[in-house]
Amino acid sequence: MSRRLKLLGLGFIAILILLQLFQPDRNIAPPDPEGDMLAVISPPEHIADLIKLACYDCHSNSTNYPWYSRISPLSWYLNKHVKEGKQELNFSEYGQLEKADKIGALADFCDALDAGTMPLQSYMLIHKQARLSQEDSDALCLWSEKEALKVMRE
Amino acid sequence: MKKQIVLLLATGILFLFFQSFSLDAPPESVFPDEISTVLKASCYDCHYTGASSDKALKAVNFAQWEEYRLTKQIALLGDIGKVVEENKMPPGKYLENKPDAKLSESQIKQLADWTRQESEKLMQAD
Repeated sequence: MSRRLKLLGLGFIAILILLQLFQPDRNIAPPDPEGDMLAVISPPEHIADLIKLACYDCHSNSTNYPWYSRISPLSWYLNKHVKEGKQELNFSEYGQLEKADKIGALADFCDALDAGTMPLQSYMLIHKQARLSQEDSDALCLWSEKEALKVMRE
Repeated sequence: MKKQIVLLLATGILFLFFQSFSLDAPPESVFPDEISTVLKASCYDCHYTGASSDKALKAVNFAQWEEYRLTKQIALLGDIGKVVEENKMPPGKYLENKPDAKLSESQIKQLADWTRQESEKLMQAD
């Protein structure tokens, strides 16, 4: 191996090590029973489990981080996804939503599953537990629509 | 002869009467007139059947408003109020080519107020 190539490799490794010094804040907040949708509505256990496993990593204030999430630049990539996901819908703040927004969130939740836009393909690639079967997806949709109508009558 | 004239007149009147049910009459909009005017001018280019962007039509197609289920209508009303109040819609790129579609402050308020009232109404309808 030429000296030049060696130097290049060393430089690359040095940069990677340096990158590790910069880590985004972790998305882990203490549970909030007033805000968390699963605490506010308390759906059947099966439904709650599915939502927690398939959605909460990006759509709540408590991400279940995998080991590689501590490695830059992967950590930045994950952080960006979580930030965007929470902006779109944050299950941890469901309780604080206006009535109409609760109904909207539940309706959109069903539509995203139905259209197959959620969970994200890239997420399901790594997270087997997020690969919802058609029955699971249908059950979630049915549940959220029922819940939306319930909120409407409140 | 007199009988024939009466018959002719009667047919004529009947004919005129049916004109009021003309097939060409534009279908009544599901939205109030003043809202319909704003939507038509600023939103329908992309959010009405016949528009070219699938993405825009998937987000909302005003031509199919009545086919959306109740909860979806409430979701969409919330979204509409939000995007117009945050100046996200109509998008800047579209406005470059069609500056007239830009919503005035009063139109934004008008739309946002309407989405809230309509949403309230729908929530009570059930």
